Amino acid sequence: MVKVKIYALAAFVTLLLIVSSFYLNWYMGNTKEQELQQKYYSIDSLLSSSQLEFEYISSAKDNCNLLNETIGMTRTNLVSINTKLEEYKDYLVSDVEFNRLKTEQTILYVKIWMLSKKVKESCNMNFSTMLYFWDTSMQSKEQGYIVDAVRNDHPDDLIIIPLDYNFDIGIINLLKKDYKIDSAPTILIDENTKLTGLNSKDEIEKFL
Amino acid sequence: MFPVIINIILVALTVFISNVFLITLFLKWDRIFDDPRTKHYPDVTIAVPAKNEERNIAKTLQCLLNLKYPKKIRIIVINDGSKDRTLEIAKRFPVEIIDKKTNSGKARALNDALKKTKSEIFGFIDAETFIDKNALMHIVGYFNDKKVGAVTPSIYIHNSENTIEKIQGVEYAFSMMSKKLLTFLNCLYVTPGCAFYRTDIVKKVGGFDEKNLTEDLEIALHISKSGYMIENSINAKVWTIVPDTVGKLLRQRIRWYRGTIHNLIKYKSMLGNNDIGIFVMPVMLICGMFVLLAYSFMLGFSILEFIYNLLTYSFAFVLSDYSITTYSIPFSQNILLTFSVFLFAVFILNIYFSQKISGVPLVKNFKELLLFLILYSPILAVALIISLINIITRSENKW
Repeated sequence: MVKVKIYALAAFVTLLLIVSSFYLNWYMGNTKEQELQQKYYSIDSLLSSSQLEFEYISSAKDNCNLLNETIGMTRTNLVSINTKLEEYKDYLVSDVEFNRLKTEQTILYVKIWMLSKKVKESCNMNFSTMLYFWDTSMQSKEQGYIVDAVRNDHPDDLIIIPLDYNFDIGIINLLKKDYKIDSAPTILIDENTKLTGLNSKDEIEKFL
Repeated sequence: MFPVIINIILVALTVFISNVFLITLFLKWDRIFDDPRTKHYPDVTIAVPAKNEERNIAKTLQCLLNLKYPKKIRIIVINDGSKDRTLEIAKRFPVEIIDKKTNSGKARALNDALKKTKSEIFGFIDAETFIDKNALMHIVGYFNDKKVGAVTPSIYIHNSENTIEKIQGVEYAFSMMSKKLLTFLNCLYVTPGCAFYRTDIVKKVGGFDEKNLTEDLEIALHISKSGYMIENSINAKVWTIVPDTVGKLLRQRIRWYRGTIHNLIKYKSMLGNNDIGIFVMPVMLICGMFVLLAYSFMLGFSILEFIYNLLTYSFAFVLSDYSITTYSIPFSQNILLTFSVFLFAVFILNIYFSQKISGVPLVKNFKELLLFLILYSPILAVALIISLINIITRSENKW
């Protein structure tokens, strides 16, 4: 009789554990979904806000002081969007959601790059633009650290636009074709200097 | 989806088995160390089958002669075709000797001794196993109950020099607790290394099966099938020499598993019919045939995954300025991982109670404990796979 009680109790505790595990899993999944949603909105609104800023700058192209100031802010926003998107990716969101945000981000980046070129010419400003084509290779990772270090040393006179070399959208493919970028990592400084492969900080800074 | 369901079923079964042990432990904790006091001291004969045991036989016999018991114990050494000095050494001790010129196997040797036994209790001890002087006094009281057919002692390892021996020490400490708990469910199914039997019962079941690879398992199942119980005394201690290399360990386990599979087939009629057939045999079938193959790897990976997640999230937390969110709880990742955390907790309890029961300092031997957790299941899984292949291809019994 004692044995039957032991087996019955063990079965009951096991069942309880299974049910609690499923509930816990459901609860955590739900909470995770809500937090992901919040993150998504946060990135989405940041992108919208940056796009609006971009529109505003484009229309105010005669005001060089404002342009200079706004480009500085945009530079900060670029880093913020990048970080948030990387965080978002870490939470293993669906590819569709992630790619939509990434496409918007890439388009915005390229628009900012194009505007920066225009502002530089029309307002005669002294800063450089850098397109950094990266992929998931170890070499790109190392180059990424170096690019970060260059950015930290040039907070006011350099705009870095990171672009995923393998991200299959029209504008990336067009840029790759136009500037003959056929591998990653590749750095394109002010449209005229192309550095392929791993380059040291000093080598990059020579062209700024 | 299908493998996930299979995994959940397997893990749920493992959790159920763990719960049976845990509940038994908590309900019977006060009886773990209690051995019944004896009403009378029956005559005891102890058989020592020995084949090429010149290195250990003297110590084994000396330990037997040191046994505290109010009556004279009859000791029979069966020299089973030894080619070394086993016989010569055994002759120096005041024991009876059956000298067999050719090796006939342990079961046959035990049966030879059994035929000469008229005492109420018949015990055997492997020639590389050393018995504590108080062991028999702890054991004999269990035979007050006429339903008890056999009593086993606690088995410790004698040699713990290298890592592989120490890992087995961890295993033996764990199995000490599980064997004792199984007696409360009337489910102890094996009498390995050293055991004491009621002579008339062993004779009634026809003695030891001479064609069996694991006669200690076979006799236990036979006794149980005949309606008798097998008891275990934690206080009765013996020390045995365990394999000192992975190769020897594998060979030993292959033999054990082959024997287990043969005996499960031989006693399949017990399945669902008595206590062993209700709990142990299904567990053996599930764990042995399936869980050991699949789950040992899965558990290993779950624990690795758990550690990986824990580290990843800890680092993410340290390196970033995120507030602590529910993401920081790694086991929310999936149900299996939640179960793994529970099983990990069970494992910790297992360590605590096994250490308390056996007296083996498991926590102190943390390295071996960790190796046992990570490496032992895969090693045993390999042994099981080879055993199955051997059985399927009908390879010769080499032992």
